[in-house]
Parts: sequence; C-alpha cells; structure tokens
Amino acid sequence: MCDLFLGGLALQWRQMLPVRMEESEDRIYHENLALVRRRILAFVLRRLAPQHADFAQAEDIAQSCVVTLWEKYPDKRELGEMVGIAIGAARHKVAQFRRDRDKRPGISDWAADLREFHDPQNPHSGERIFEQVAAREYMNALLLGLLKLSPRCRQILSLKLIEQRSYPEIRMVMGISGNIYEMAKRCHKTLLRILGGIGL
Amino acid sequence: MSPSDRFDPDALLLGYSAGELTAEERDALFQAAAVNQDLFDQLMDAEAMRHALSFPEQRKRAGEVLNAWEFEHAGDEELAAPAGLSWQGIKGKTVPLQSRRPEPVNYAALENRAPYRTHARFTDLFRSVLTTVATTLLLRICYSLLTAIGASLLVPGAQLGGALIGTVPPVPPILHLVQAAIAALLLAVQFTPFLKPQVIAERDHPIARKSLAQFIAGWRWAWAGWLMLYLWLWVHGGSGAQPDPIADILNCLTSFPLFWCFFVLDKPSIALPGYPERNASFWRAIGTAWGVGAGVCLMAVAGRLHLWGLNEFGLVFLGLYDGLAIAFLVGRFDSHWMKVPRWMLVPLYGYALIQMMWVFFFKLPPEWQIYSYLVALLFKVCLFLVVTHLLHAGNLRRYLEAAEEGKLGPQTEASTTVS
Repeated sequence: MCDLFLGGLALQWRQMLPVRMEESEDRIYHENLALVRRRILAFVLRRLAPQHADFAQAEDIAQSCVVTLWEKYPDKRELGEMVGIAIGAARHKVAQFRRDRDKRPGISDWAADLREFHDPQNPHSGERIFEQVAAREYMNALLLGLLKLSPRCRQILSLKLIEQRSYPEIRMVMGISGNIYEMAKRCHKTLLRILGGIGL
Repeated sequence: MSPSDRFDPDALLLGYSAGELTAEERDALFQAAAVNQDLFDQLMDAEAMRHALSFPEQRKRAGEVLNAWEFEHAGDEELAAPAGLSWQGIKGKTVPLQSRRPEPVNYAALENRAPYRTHARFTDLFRSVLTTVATTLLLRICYSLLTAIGASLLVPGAQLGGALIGTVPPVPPILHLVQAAIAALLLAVQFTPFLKPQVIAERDHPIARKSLAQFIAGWRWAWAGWLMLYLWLWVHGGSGAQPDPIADILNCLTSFPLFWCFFVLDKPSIALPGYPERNASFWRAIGTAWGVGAGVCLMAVAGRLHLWGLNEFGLVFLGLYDGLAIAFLVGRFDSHWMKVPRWMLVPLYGYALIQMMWVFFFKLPPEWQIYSYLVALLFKVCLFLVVTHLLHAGNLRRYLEAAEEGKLGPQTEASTTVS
C-alpha cells in the first residue's frame, strides 16, 4: 500500500517535472526581458532625458523594444541573443523617436500607409529610406566624433572602419611599427566616449 | 579580435563596430553588456556605428568628408574639433573631393558661426577699458599690501644709503624660515593622502603610469631643493653675509628637477622591453640639461668669488637657467590636454621671469628685495597649487594617457612620442 502510494507520488512528480522546468525557463526568460528592458531604459534616459525625452517616453521606447523581442522573436531566449536583438531594436526605436520628434520632412506620413512600406527588399520603401536617413545621421555623429580625435587616431579608425582595411594593411599605410591593434582599440574607446558625449 | 583569450570589452567593441566578431565573441560581448550598463551604452554606440558603416554610400561619403577635413587642416598638430560643433551642425552636404588640389573646397558645414556683429566690437573695447582700470586698481592694492608687509619686515638701517648697509641682510632671516617652512609643508603634503595624485592603471597605460611616477619624483625633488635652499639661507643669512656660492648651487639644484619634469612630459622617458633605446633622447636631454646646469653653476660661483676675471655678471646665466626651467615646464602646462585655465598661467610665467631676475636682487634697494621675495613666494605657492591640481584632478593623468595612446606629438613619429 505504502509502495503503491510512493510509486504514485513519484509518477506524479515525474509528470510535473517538465512543467516545473518550463516554469523555470519562463521565469528566466522574463527575468532576461526585465534585464534587457532595464538596460535600454537606462540608456535612453542617459542619452535623451531630460532635454529630448521625458521618463514616460523613455519607458515607451524600452517597452516597445521588449514587445518586439516578445512578439517577433519568441524563440530567442538566451540572454546574449536577446541583447543582440534588443540593441538593434533600441537603435531603431530611438531613431524613430528622433524622427517623430523632429517631424522630418524626408519621410511623409502617407508613405507609412503604402503597402510596401515595411518591405525591406524594396529599395524605395519607407522603411528602407528611414534606415538610410538614420544611417546618415549616425554617420554624421561618427564623423563628428572622428574629427574630435587626434589626427593619428582619426587615420587609424578611418582606415579600419571606413575603408575596412586589415591591421597589417593599416600598419603599412601609416608606416607604424608599433602595436597598431592596441592603438586602434584605444582610439576606438576614445571615439565611443566622444560619441557618448554627443548623444548618439 | 585580439589573439588573447581573456575577455577584453574594448577589443570586442572595436570588433563589433568593424563587423569582425565571431558568433562566440558577439555572444560574450552581449552577455557582458547585459550586466554592465556602461558597456551596454558603449555597445549601443558601437551598434549605431556598425549600422551606419554597413551602408557603402555612407562610408564613401565619410571618406570624402574626412579627406576634405584633412586637406583643410593639413599641418595642424594638435587638432581640436571646433568648440560648439554639434551633431545637427554636421548634417548636410556631401564632399566632392578626392584629389588633393590646392583649391578651396566646399565641404559639410561644420560650424554655424554667427557673423561678428558691430556691437561686439564696442563690447570688446569696453572690456579692454574695464581691464585697464581693474588691473591698475588691483596692482595698486597689491603694492600697498606688499609695502605694508615688507616694511614691517625691513631691518632698520638697511634702507638704501642706511648706516648698516652691507652689514645687515636686507631680507630678514625669518622670511627665509617662513619660505623653508612653507616648502617643508608643501613637500610633506605630497606624502599624505590629502590631494593625492590620480592613479593610472598599470593594465591600461603602463607607460603613462611610469611617466607619472617619474614626474612626481622630479616634482618632490624640486621641493626638497627649495627646502634646502631656504634652510641654508636662513642659517647663513643670520650671519649677515651676502648670498653665497652655496646658495647659488642649491638654487641650481632646484631648477634641474624642473627640467626633469619638463622632459618627462616632452619626451619618451620609459624604455620598453623590446625597445630599450626608446628613452635615449630623454636621457640625452637630461644629460645636457645637467651639464648646462653644472656649467652655469660654475660660472655663477666663479662670478660670485670674482675668479677667472669674472664678476657677478656670471650670475646672469644662473638666472636664465632657473627661469627657463620654469618657463619650459609651464609651457607644457599650456597644452589644452592639461586644461589649466589660461589665467592660472600668469603667475607661473611671472615666476619664471622673477627667477631670471632673482640673482640680481642683492643689487636692488632692500625694501624692493623684500617685496620681490614675497611675490616670488606667492608665485611658488601658485605653482604648487597648479601642479597639485593637475595631479589630483587627473588632468596630468589624461595628458600622459593621451601621449601613450599616440594622440600627442608629431604625426610622423607614430608611436615614439609617448611620454
């Protein structure tokens, strides 16, 4: 009787195990979502608030990124994957926010109604144009950052990032015998610091 | 990516911007960014950069803008981006420039300067008048203060033409003792946690770290020299004798460490494991400065003792040596990397000028000697405050780190201009 009872209990437990694991995975997933949301919110607050956005708007941006993760990428549940998607989404949402704030005339509202707007393959779609405009603005900020660097750093990063040369090639072009990789790394670090100040 | 296996966020961020990371490296970076807000913020910037760089037409435009910029600013060494440059300010036109023709180019509007208005000229004129009045008043007040303090210290009978001239020292020994006490205090402060210099991380900037240690050593040495000089003057001055050759030697010994500090900031002073001759120019300069100092010292002593047919004119060279040591060092503080407010440089250069004249102070009327002595004391304290500020606020750290990163110095000597 006792064995039967214990056997039944064990069976019940085994049946519950997948459910528990699923619950645990869900809990981790939601924790990850919360973590990603917190990071994006802090980033947006640091960069946009209070001059360009208030707290509620920053929360909206962070929330919309999480919703994108939740709805469009439900299978991406690893933290690394989620961050990778989230940063792209956050970049997009921040650019959208800037566009809406500035009411950029380059993309009119009616374009949003067109069927092909969301077609990424269509080179004339609103989405594509928007991405190009955003890229142009990012590039302007990047140029501004590069111009604030020392001539040497600017040359290294220009060769690396813009001309996409390899390190040996950069060493040859610049005639530097030192550790070009270390120099590039430090220059890039400075560039990121400048870009942070500009408010990319 | 770096061949090293250790987690290096800077390397990963560079790789991410350049689009060169493997899936594993990307994942490591993302995981780290999820738990570190600063890294996440940098990753967001790197993401924006990567996105912009993924458009070939944007890369082409960026290359053209940079070409135009380099062409326009060819020859500038310490190229600072114009103040007030904003993100919005750079928006706009592409730059149709690939060739290096010496023609004016129309490139992206980087500045939005308002035209210089006429009423601004009147403001400038008014400012100039105001400065004249303020300077006159301020200097008059300073003179009153100096004469009031100086007169109270003047030994009776030591005035020009007084009965005791030549037998009573014009600068009372107590003033030397005060100088010595201040030097001792300021030297002691450097060994306490109060106003401690900012530390440079060994891992990030090993060269800058060692350079900073060299600078601090030289700086302390200078203060120890001043302490010895004023102690000597105090002890020796009590006997009523004129300044003597030992004081000249000690004076020279205070200037040499200032040259040392200058060369630490000016030349590659640290040898590297695979590059032992890297600091050769530094040691050459140090040897020369030392040799010149010894020669100048010999001339001063000979002049003071009227040897080799010399008179006190031999002291001129010592004055020049002292003054130049401070002027060279202060000249380094002029760098915008140091961020020393320009007005702060005034007393420092003033101190250099006073040093040049100091050797002839014994020819001045006694009260003038005391006034100049007080001004020199004030300037010396200013020098201490500026250097302590540079060390404590991290300005010197940033300068040395920038030097190590190759951001300073001539463009042709890529990695050799580091301190």
